[in-house]
Amino acid sequence: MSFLMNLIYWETLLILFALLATVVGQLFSGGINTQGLLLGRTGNGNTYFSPERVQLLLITLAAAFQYVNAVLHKPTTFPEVSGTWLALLGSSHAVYLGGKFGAAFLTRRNSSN
Amino acid sequence: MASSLQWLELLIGYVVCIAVGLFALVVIWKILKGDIDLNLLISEKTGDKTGSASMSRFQLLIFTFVIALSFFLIVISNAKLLQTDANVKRTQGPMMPGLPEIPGGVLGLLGISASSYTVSKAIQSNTPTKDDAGAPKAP
Repeated sequence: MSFLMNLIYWETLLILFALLATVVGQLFSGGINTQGLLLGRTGNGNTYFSPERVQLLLITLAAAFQYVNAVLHKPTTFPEVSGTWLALLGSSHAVYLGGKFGAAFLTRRNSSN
Repeated sequence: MASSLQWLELLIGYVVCIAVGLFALVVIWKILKGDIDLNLLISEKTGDKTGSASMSRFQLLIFTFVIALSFFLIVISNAKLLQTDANVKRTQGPMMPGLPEIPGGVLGLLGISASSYTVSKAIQSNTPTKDDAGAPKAP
């Protein structure tokens, strides 16, 4: 039974990391389209560099890193996400949506004039 | 009787393990060969054919890997703990590792992400596009 458990452990670990490596590899080699990830888009088709997307990306990466770190420290239960992180992520999303809403509002106003 | 059941349990364990491994190998091989196209994995339709990368989808991809890795580490860690305990407390009968509880904070995290995606889609669909501007107005 112990051999089977070891086999399952290494197999799952290998599958997870192979998938992760494949996706990350394709992200960096261009196999997965990342064009426009940091660009906002107005209704008339124009794109603009979007700082609200950059801050959302940074907060997401930081939250993910912090969570994996917490799991590695105590891998017996899912660690509770602190209220601070939830508030930070919520505010970050609010900024992102605010920027998007602002761009949409301006587009609507320009198109009606 | 118990012995033959244990053999059956082991056999099924090995068969499932090998089947899952082969399936994963085929999927990864097909991705690397290009038969499974991941080009638009984090993209969404924007009117043109290529599509543009979506921050919400990218965020969901990151969270999926984080939760999957965490889930795996926690299950394995609990199984190892139970194995060690079982060696000490053999008299208490068989101990099965349960699936870990998912705390409300993690669900909140995914909820924020999903809600933001929905609101973002609503804003996007209510924004007039180039085609709307050129189209004749309804009487």
